[in-house]
Amino acid sequence: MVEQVQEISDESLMERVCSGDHQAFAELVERHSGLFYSAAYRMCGQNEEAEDIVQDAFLKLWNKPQGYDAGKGAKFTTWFYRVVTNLAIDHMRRKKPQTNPEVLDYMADKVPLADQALEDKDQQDVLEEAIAALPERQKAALNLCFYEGLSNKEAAEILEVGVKALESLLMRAKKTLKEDLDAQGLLGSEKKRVTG
Amino acid sequence: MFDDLDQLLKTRKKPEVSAHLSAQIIAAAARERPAVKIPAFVQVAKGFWTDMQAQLTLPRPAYAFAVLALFIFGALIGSSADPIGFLPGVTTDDLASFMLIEDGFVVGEWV
Repeated sequence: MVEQVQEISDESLMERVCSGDHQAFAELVERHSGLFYSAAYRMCGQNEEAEDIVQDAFLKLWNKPQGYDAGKGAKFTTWFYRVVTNLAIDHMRRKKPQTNPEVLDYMADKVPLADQALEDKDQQDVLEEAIAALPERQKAALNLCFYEGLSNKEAAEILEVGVKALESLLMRAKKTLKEDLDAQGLLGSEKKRVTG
Repeated sequence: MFDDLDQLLKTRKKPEVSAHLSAQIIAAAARERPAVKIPAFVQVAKGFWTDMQAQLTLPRPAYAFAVLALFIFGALIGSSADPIGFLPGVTTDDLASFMLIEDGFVVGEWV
């Protein structure tokens, strides 16, 4: 029975979830919790929050599976990325007053503290903070296209924008990141290293 | 230091998933009520009933009694022929005016 469930497509499992099949739901969770945890973590940057977001998303799916309409032709994963991304964005908006001042202070002082920042924080921290400081939708576009490996069309569908608008979000995200990381000495900044 | 942004972005650590996450989600779902697909008309009726219960303050037996009384009244009308034997003095015209129907003939047909 377990082997049979494992061979079923996500979309067919969703049909079974609609009729209250807990085993089908469990199979979907086993298949995708890691994938969507990564997506949530890349959006919010914290383990516990990412776990809460993924759990909320799956419970939402369990309680209201009719939200997914296979008839519209969307892949289950594309639809569920949208659910997780929207929950993550809501979560970050609620948390904004707590997290932003620290990031903004850090970013405001980034030029004079470039070398010190590199000493105090490792490269990963600097990169994570630069990405965390991006506006939510730019961050989501970057995560979906760059880290989740989705096509621009899929990412645009998830963020409910056109492909051109998605490309614009990506371009702005990369431009901001390039400026920030360059200012902090992580990108092509020979002149800063020399003068610093 | 990196010359290329994409190269730097690729160095971002992959998040580590907790081993218990799936089990935790599956257990949480099991505690919640199972998802059963309910036909749309049943959902509408349930919603209507819930809204009605929120609006009305009388106890349930009062509504049950009212529905029963209406049913008996309807059954009596249905079982009696014209004229309305069980309501002496009430004509189809009276019923028509009571029901705001101008054409007494329609009520006569209905009764």
